This record gives sequence, C-alpha cells and structure tokens, in this order.
Amino acid sequence: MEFLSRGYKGLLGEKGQPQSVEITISKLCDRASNSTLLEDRRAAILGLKGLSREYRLEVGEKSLGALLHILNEDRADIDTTKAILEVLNILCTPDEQQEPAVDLGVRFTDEIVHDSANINLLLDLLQEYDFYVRFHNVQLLGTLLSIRPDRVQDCILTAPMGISRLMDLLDDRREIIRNESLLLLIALTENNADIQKIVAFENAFERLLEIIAEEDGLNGGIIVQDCMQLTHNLLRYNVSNQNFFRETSCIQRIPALLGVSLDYKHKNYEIEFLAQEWQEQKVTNTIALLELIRILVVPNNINTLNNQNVMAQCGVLKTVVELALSSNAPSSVKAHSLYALADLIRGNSSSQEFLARTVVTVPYSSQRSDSTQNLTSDSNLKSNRSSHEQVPTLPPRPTVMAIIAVAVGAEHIESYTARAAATYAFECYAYNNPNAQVALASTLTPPPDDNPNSNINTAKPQSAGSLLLSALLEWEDSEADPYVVWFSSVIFSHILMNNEKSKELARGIMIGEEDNIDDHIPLLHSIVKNLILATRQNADVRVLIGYLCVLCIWLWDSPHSVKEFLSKDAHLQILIGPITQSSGVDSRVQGLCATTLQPILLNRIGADQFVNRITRLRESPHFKHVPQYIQVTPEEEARRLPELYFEYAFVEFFKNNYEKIQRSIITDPKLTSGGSDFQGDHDSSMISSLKFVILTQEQEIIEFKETIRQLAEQLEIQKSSSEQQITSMNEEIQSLKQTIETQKSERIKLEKEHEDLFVCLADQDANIKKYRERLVELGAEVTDAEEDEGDEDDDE
Amino acid sequence: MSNFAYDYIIKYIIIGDTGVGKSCLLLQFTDKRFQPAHDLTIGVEFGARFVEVEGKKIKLQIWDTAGQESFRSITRSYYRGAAGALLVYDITRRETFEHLLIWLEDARQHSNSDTTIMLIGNKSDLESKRVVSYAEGEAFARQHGLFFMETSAKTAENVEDAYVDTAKDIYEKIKQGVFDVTNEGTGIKVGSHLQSGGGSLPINVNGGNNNCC
Repeated sequence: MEFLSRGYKGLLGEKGQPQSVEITISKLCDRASNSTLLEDRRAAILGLKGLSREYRLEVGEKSLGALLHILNEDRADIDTTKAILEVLNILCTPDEQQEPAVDLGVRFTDEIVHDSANINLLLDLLQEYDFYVRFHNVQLLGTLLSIRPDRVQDCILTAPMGISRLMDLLDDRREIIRNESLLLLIALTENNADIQKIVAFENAFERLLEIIAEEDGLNGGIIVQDCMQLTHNLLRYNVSNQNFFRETSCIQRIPALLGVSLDYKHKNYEIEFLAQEWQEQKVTNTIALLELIRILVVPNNINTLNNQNVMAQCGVLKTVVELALSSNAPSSVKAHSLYALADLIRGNSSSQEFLARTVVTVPYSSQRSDSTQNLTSDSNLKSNRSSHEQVPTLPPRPTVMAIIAVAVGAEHIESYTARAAATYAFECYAYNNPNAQVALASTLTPPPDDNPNSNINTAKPQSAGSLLLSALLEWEDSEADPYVVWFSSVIFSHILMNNEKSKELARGIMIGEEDNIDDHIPLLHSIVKNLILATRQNADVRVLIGYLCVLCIWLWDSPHSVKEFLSKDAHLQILIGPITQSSGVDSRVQGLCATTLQPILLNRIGADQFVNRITRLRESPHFKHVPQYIQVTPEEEARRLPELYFEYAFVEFFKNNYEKIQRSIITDPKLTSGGSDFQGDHDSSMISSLKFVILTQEQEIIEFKETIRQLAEQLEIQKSSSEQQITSMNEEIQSLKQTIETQKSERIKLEKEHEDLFVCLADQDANIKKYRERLVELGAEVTDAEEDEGDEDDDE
Repeated sequence: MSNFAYDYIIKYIIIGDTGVGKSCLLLQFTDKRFQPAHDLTIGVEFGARFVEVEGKKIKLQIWDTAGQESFRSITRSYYRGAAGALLVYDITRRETFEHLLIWLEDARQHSNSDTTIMLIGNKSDLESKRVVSYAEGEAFARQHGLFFMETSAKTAENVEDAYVDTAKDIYEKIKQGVFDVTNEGTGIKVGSHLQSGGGSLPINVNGGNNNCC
C-alpha cells in the first residue's frame, strides 16, 4: 500500500488539486525513468499500473517505450519486473468489443514485437523463478502471440535459447505455470514446422508423456488434454517429428495409456474392462489420444506404413479394436476408435489380415434392444455400471462382422457418427485388399429367414455376408432409418469395387424361396426390384442413392454384370425413366441413373440431357463437399437424420470416370448434330435401337453357336469314319501281308520241287544216254527223232 | 520391447554449407543408400540408428540441418542440445572449406563446450575434382581441436566410422563424467536400466581399461 500512496501523490497538484490524467501519466513516466531511487521508480510504475486499465490509451502512448527500457535495466528487481509485465499485459490484451483495426491491444502489441530485442528480453526473463514474474511473462507472451502469431513465432525461432527456455517451464512444479506454458506452447507450435521440430528436439514428447503419466493418464484432468493437443501440433503433417516420435519408442507407450488393456491374466479383467467409468474429461482425453494415433497413420503419408506396422506390433491396433467393439465406452469414443482402427489398417495388408483373423466379444449391454428408435441417443450414462457387476457378453464373433453389425445398426449403439465410422473402417479393410473382398463376397448368402425384415440380431449364427444382405434389402424400414440401406450399400459396393471375382460371386447369389420361381431371383435383380419398389413408395432418397451407387459400382467395367442386368427388359427403363423426367425426381438420383447407364451404353448414347444430369450430380453440394472419410458432425447427430448422401470413394470413382463419361457422350458422331432438341421419343427410339442391336447380337451369337455345333458334329463324324477307314485299311494290309507270306512260302516250295525235278530229269537224261549207248552197242538203230522225242519229253 | 532397449541416446547435429552432402551422409548412415538428386533440406530433418561402442547399445538421434544462410538462425537452436556435431565441407568446393570458421564460431558460441565436433571432408570419391587437400583439412582440424575424416556419402567410405568415432569420443567423456547425464539438455540420455542400477555414474567397468596407453 505504501507504493500505491507514493505513486498517487503525483496525482495531486501543489495545492492538492487533482491534475489532468495526461499530466499525471507524464509525471509518472518521467519518475519511472529518471528517479534515482529504485523505490521511486517502482512506485511510479505501480502508479501507471493503477491507471492502465482506465486510461489504456494514454498510459500506453506515453509509457510503453519507457516501460520496455526499464524492464531491461531493472530486471533484477522482481517487483518492478512483475509490475511492468502486468502493465504490458493490460495494454496488449485485446478488447473483445473492438475492431482489430482500431484495437489498442493490436497497436501496442505491434510496438512491442516490432523490435525482436523485446521478445528476446521476455525470453531471457523466463529464467526468473519468481512465480508472478513467470506467470505474467508467460501470459504476456501468450497475448502477443495471439495477436501477431507470425512475428512472435519468427522472433522466438531466431532466439537460440528461446524454445529451450519455454520448454524448461514444463518442468516447473507449480502447476499453474506449467499449465500456462503448455497453452503458450500449443499456440506457438500451431502451423510452424520449424518451431515444432525444435520443441520436439527439446524432448517434448518424453516430457509430455511424463506429465500425462503423472496426471493419471486418460483419467487425468484437462492438463492431459492440453498435453495431447501439443503432441498433435508437433506431429500433424510433420514427417521429421513423426520419425522422431517413432524412433524414440513413443508409439510403444500408447497401449498402456489407452488403459483399456488391463492385465489380461487378471481374472476380473473383462469385468473391470467393462466397468470403466466415462467422465466427460476422460472421454475428451481418450478421443484426443485416438486423434493422435490417426495423425500418425493419416492416409497417403510417407510414414504411414511404418507407423501402422509399429502400432500393430506393439498392440495399439489390438487395443483400439477392443475399445471400439468390446468396451463400454460411449459412442463418441467408439466412433473415434473406429476411425483410428480404420486408418490403422487402411492399405496395410498385414494389419488387414490381423483384423480378418481376430474375434471380439461384444458386451451384451450394447446389443440392440427391441426398440430401434433411440438410435441417436448417446449411451454415455447408460454404459456406466457399478463396478464388478457381472456383465454378460455374447460369444466372440469375427471382428469384421462386428464392424458391419455396428454400421448397419444391428447393435444397440449407436449414433450415426459411430455407424459412419464403422462403415469407413470397413472401407479401409477392403481398400487394396482383393482377397478380403472375395472372401466376403463368398459369404454373401441370403438371409436365413424367409422374412428379411425380422430382427436381424437373433442368436442365430450369421456370416458377415448374410448380415449385410439382410440389411441391404431391408429398405421397407427405411423411414425410421434409411441408413441401414445406405451404409450397407456403401459396404457392399466396397466388396465389389474393381473386383470382377467378387462381382461374379455376387451374380451367383439368388434371393427368395427356391420353390417360388417368380420370387427366386438373382441378387442383382433383387436390388433393382427394391429400387423400383422404394421409388414407387417414395422411400427416403438415401435409399435410392444407396442402391444406385451399388449398381453403378457393380456394372462398371463388368460386361457380365451388364448382361445380367439387361436380361430383364424393364431394367433399362428404370434407369432411363428418371433421367428423362423433368420434374419430381431428385437431381442426385437422376445423375446417378445417368452414371449407372454409362457402362451399359458406353459410346452409344449421347445427349445434352445426359450430360446435364451427370454435371448436376457433380455440382450438387452433398456430392461436391463430401468429406474424405464418412463422418457425421455433432450438429447432424442432433438432427433426425444426418446429411450423408455420398461417400468419398464413390465420389472419387465418379470423378475419375467423369471425363471419360463426358467424352464418350459428347463425341458420339451420331448424336452430336441434333443434340440440343433431343427429346423423349428419341430416348425410346434409342432404346429400341439398342435393344435391336442387342437382340441382333444375341441372334448372331445363337447362330454362331449353332454353326459351331454343326461343325463340331461334322468333325466328329468325319473323325469316326476316317478312323474306321484306317482300321479297315490296316486290316487289309494285314491280310495282304499274310497272303504275300503264304505265297512266298508256296513259291519256295515249288522252286524246291522244281529243282528236284531237274535233278530227276538230269538223272533220267543220264539214264537215257546210257541206254542209248547200250542200244548202239547192241546194234540197234537210234534215230534223232527218238533223241528229239526224249528232248521234247524233257521240255514238257 | 527389447529391440528398443538402449544404453545411451546421443544427439547429433550435422552442419555445414548447403550442398556439401549433409543429408546424403545421414541417409547413407541410416538407410545405407545414396540419393544423388536429393532435395534441399528445409529446416531440419530427423534420422536415427543404433551403433555399438564397447558393447553398449547407443542410439544416435541425428538432426540434419539446412545449410542455407536463411535457415542459420533456426538451426542454432539445435546446437546446445547436441552432444555431437558433424561439421561438413565439400573437398571439391573451396568456399565450403573457407566457411568452416564461421560455422565453427557459431557452434562454439551456441553449443555446449563439451560437444564433440567431427570435421568431415565429403565427396572423397570425386578425387579428380578435389581442390582441398587432405593435409589442409587435417591441419584445420588439428588447429581447432576437431576430429577429422574424409568421407564419401556416395561410396559410403568412412561414413560409418565418422559417426561411430564421434560416439566413441562422447562415450569416453561420459565415462569420465564430463557430461551431466541427468540433464537431457546435454544431448545425452541414459537408458532406464542403467539409471536404476546403482546411484553413481553408469561407468562401464570392464571397458574402462581401454583408454589407457
């Protein structure tokens, strides 16, 4: 009080008359700068402080420079320093009611930050341990930063010890100082990668994790939230810091922090796990930690794959799965867990596989009750149970199925936010994962009941596919919840997307009773049928959009699916009808019909109308502003239904093909000439011409098939006849060979006989000669004729 | 978890003119590869690797700084917190050698006086373009009390040694109690298992003889 009275003496004139404020302030400034005694200077400053709130302009204009000078000179005096910092704070704090342009806070801030030496001075003063000096200094820096963030960031960045000093404040045992410094660091690290890196270099992660641990982790207060917030700032879009975070084994500390993974060997583990209490701050802290996880595995980041792998190895993934599907957490926490789960597995085959082979237990308490109406109610309070109460759980079920169950609303949780998150989680599971797509497509079996609308959460074991199909065809309940169909459409289209094998499996599915031929139809037809019925009965537009998106994805780039679609004449009209109607049809539905038609009619259809419909779809706000992942805002959650009509992957699919669609339509030579007055009957003539083309082609195919059959038959006949011929010829050859053989041996025999005869003849000749000689000897006359006769005999 | 166990963490910075190959020296050390067309480093980039010195697992945390003048004031913030500094010049560009004095002055002013500085003449694979001789580099290092080595980030020649020798010197200093290892501001952190065992400095008893003679 002595200081105060001394200071205010200056307010009184020589005759005790009150002086004008300007004169008083001038005098105080003069004294503050020029008095020889420290106490006098200090008293003058306190005087200025006393006036600074009421006469902010005057005090600021006259004393700001002087105060900064004194702060530098008299910094050893704690009281002076403290008072000056307080005055500066008062002068610079912006007036909420003022325009920034005329605000004094902005003006005085500019004067201070203009010279970086002033900021350096404040940073130097952080070494002063006195509580109030530190407190006001941190506050002042915070104030300056809030008004001129870029300039203050630059000054702090170029002060070699600046950030190091600020970081030291985190070790201050006085909580207020520590907490205020934390807020200052949060503001400082916003959008400045260089500061973020230096803060990380100063061991920020370690220090923050230590504070979080000291404050009892997620059960701690708002300080934990602040630590998380600062960690987010340091890691978001900062690859170098993400590396640092990972390389210093900080990811490994997340599972323990998440806390839900208690000691598994503990016999009451599950009970304790399900009996956690979820106060508001714990919910906020948990969501902040989940957000931290997502920052590290954000899609399309160079570090994501690495971080995903470490998260899977050290148990983050497992813990997040438990929190998302098996815990008693309120649905907001579950939603964020599902998003974290989604980004943890997206495009990472080993993590996707992990998900495929794990099962989860789902607490019974979160099962759907009979009423499906209170879908939007947050189970925050309901899920609080008195501890150690036995919480029944259902038998474990596959994780992927549990995710689908949340998405299609088969669980009692559950806000649209959580269901949107589950749908996104599924999308990430199927992303770049053709094996999973096919595996799921092969479990697509018709609902076990003949009534697909019955409670789908019966105790009957279901496959993921049958659960999904039940939901997909359940449009009749859509008035209460059109998102059963919409979410299941999104999931189903992700099973089919770019995967012909999945499409083939889906084409093979028959819906309805086998005995009833009219009712027993392929799934593709069943979806079209549902689309027709839903349109006729004015179902929610989300149902129509959902079905059309499925058809669009299914038919794209899949001639077999298109053929299957066209096997019923009426199908084409279902898509063309809405395009040609000029009123009464939702423009998004029209656009989708046009887009769906595209793969069917590629290069054969073209019209302004066609282009317009598609363009209008592209331009529609729900299409244009689709968020990168399926999400429901809290405001939407509060309304009856969210404004979710499209999902990112579909919009991407559309945009990627948009150009192609446009081009193929516009460049069609047949239709470019008279495109503008293209009207309805053109449509029908076009349809009939197309039908004709298809019919002709079919006829041709049939003819070709017949020809092929005939040719095959002929070939068969020819083949068998020639075979016969060959056989008979072979036989003939065989017999001829035998004949030759016999004749040969006969001939040899004859030759031999012939020879014998010759020998015999020669003998006889010799005998005849002998006899003739004897006859001559005996005197008988032997004639030549006799000789000749003998010769002739020989010849015969 | 044992994969992540370390006996010490030591922080390094890499400094020197732009284009002398600082980022390549880091990449060669951490990833064992060479990237000829590396982008300019913006600000500071982080890398890490384990090395072993006298049976101790030492994790090196390395901050690769931008060499451009405009980043100089930012990179100064890293000096004090680092226990090791690699000061790099390019043997094919004399000006990068001539600037060493400026760098050294900066380092002396802002860093801890116990920081071990290793002078590195990089690009030793480009012998034909050499303009700074080995003897010159060695003389400069001797004059200013620095370690010296010529390296090639391209062929990896001496890269490993440059990091490991620096770590050896720092580890010697730790053993001699030069650093206050309880203060992380010195750029050194002791593994938790060493911290808890006994109260005194974590001196490697067996390895202690090595530095005699």
